[in-house]
Amino acid sequence: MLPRLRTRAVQTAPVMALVTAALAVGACLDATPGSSAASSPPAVAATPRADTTLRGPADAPRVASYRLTASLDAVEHRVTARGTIRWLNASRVPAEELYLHLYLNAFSSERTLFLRSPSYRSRSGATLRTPGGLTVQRLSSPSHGGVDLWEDAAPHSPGDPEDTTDIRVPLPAPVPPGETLELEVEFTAQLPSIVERTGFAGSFHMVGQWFPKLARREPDGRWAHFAFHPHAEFYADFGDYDVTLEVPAGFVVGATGQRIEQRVTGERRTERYRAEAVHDFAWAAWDGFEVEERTVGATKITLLAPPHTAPARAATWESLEHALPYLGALYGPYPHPTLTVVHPPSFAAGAGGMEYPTLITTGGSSRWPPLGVRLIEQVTVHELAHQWFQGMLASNEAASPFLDEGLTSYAEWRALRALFGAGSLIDLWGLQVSLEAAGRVAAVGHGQDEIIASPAHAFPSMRSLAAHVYSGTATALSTIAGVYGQARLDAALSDYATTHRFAHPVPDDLLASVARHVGPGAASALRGMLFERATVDYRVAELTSAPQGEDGGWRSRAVIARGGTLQLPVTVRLELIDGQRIDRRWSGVEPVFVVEQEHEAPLARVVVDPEQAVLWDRDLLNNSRSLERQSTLRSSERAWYWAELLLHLLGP
Amino acid sequence: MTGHPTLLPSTARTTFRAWLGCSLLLWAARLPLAWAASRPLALVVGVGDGDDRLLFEPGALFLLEVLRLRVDLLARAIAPTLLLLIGSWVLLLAVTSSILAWLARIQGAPAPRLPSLRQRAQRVAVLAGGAGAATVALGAVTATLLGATATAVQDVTEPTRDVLLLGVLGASLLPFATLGALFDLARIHVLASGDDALGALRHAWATFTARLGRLVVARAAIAAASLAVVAGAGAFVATQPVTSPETGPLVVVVIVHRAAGLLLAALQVAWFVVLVRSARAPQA
Repeated sequence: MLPRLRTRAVQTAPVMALVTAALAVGACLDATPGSSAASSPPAVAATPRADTTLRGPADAPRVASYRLTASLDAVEHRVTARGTIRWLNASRVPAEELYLHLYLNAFSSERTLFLRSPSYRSRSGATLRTPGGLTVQRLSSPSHGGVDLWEDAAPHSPGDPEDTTDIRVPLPAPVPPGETLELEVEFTAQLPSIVERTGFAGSFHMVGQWFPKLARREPDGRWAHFAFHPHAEFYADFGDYDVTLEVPAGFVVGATGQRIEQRVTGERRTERYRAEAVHDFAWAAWDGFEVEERTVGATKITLLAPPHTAPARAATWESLEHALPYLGALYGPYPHPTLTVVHPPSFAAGAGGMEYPTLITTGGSSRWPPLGVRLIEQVTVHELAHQWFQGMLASNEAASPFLDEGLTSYAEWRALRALFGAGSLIDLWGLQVSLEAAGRVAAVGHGQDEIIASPAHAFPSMRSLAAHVYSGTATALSTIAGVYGQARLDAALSDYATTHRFAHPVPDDLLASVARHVGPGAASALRGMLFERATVDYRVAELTSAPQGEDGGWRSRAVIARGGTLQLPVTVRLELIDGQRIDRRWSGVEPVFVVEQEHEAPLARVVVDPEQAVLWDRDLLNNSRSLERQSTLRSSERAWYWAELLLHLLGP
Repeated sequence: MTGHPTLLPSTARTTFRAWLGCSLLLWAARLPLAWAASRPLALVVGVGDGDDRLLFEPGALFLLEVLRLRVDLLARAIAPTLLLLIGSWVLLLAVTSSILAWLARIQGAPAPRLPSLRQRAQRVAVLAGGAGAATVALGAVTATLLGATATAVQDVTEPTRDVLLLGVLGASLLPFATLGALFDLARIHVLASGDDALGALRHAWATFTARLGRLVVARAAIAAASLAVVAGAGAFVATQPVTSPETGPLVVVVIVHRAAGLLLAALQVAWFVVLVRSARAPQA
């Protein structure tokens, strides 16, 4: 999910950028011809393994499969459902209990773990106007004599009497490894007013986290269960979902999976969806949706959007048509036949910016796309990239959120840079702001206080999590790509994404792929950034240059210092006044690097990391030093003109 | 000091010459003031080793880094900039008042025995203070209205909300424009007729209501032309390779921007001419 906090920050980014550009008085009316982003999208460097060897949905383990029938009361905002859950004990240990997540209970009162956390307000900005919750009427198993297992279920989450999102259900008899348990379930999901991801606003219904969902059991028999925290998302096993939905006849439905049946009977519409090898099921229903469909490659995409949102739809389609094949080329083809994209109406914006298998919700105002502020594109590509790092890889989002959100953010940066170049976040009146530049500010400015690879609940705030997990991971990976080569990192991430498809990878799997394809130095550096709060700051400490006698030559000496523990190789560049450049490579291992160079023309400047490969550098402003006074004529002229305009506008 | 404005023949040629001269005067007054006001921020840009790439680098990596690490310098630069802008406003008040007085003279405005220059200046200052206070009040009302509208229309579709907010914003421009016109008309009455501040406001209101159609059309046309000048200059400058180390593109940009500034000054003087003629008409 793109955190609401971040979305809001991004929404203010254009204003901030404009204000700051006006303060710095400058560049807004300038654009360098040919610098426009989309002019030369980089080629995809990595080629994932051939499709025939990729794990596909058919190869995925079916551990938790659901067959549900649900009916929406659109007036009471209530879903009544019943069905069957088939659970395979895929661990090596007999199961004597189950853990069921009732995520919707996070919105049952202000005292739940989710809502009592200060982070929830900073994340969504919304408040709970109408509570909701999940009530299980019955949970039984034919193999256990049909007794109601729910009667013995724990009344609340472990150790938290105010929270009921993580419920232990003891079993009358253990389920041996390799055996399947079939459960009959009846439940009612009362949808809350939209706070985060799920709920209703008017007649719009975003129905996520709406059914009792089995926690994932690790191979060693530990249940990966947790109460629903506002920082965390989900973790579940793969399975097949067969869900029949009944809604008012005038409603349009979008859901996980492929629609295989639909009919209208009287005042009710019934639609049946089937999704294979997924780990969640969400759906949206609204009588205001307009539907657009396109096919991209082998994928049929359905876009559900409010009326009168043509610019938003165009931006969404542009993003999808670019990013789906682009990310497929990088990380392996998208394996499902369908993708549903829901653009919630503005009054239900809290439902936007969320990922579910084969269904994503986007967001962002329709006002911005024509102006070159890429909010909709950013949200769309981010949620789409989750189809790989959350949908297919399904790592533990509570324990290691960086594996999902961090890699997703990096993929988002990659895809949008390919589409829009340096203006991947803002390209407005000649001012180009890239996602890398904006993300780096959060990552370096705020993002080295905590360990990036921490569990979600360990971060002190959503702002901190966003800076570390989202921006920090993406900045760290961008640095690895810049220092060791984009193609090698692409190969590593491709290896990670394809090897662990449908396999719940852990952080060591990522580091192993990086070590294999980029090298042990890169893996060590990445480990330092993700796990050890490692930092680096390159700095020009000394610079001297003097003529050498009568022959006209010059001799220069630069001392470059490295602060922090991270040892990354960089280029040190001497720029002469005649335009000549002399590059020296420094391993970055020693704390100080001394460059002594003889040259014919006088020295103008020395720059560390001129290609800006090390985005992780804590201070970019001390990376260069000049012997000649730098020209600021252009900036001064622009400042002068803007002041003139201001006097014209506000003067008497 | 008292004065008896000389009645000058109001011919098209005289008006054109006056317009041209006043435009040059206003432009020449703005140039050094704008340059001075921009210096504090321009100097911050020049701090360190960033040079011009700071503002012209695609991706804005260094711009954001400066904002992150040098925000204190920027903040310190804003205070003198604001002070200089306020000082510039006061100086431009004198310049534009002189222009209005001159235009009124050549338009053959009635020439009573005028109060001293000092008295007229005091009255203009009172009017300016009143206009400033009214502007602040209007700004507060507009912000409140916008906020209230945004809150009240949360449950409507985005296009409807856009239209409502734009409607409120557009409507809020009308009081500002009215206030500006009243202030300028009142200044004309103080400067050319010797009214006191209150009398000048009454006359200004009478003029404004009597010549409303003409004033609205002229204001709209001049605003549109000003926008076109700024947009045109921006579009042209955008085609220039500003990151080129050669000075040619920079010279072109300087010329285009200065020409745009001159045109904007000329458009403002044209507005003054309309006001002066309107002020004269109802009293004739």
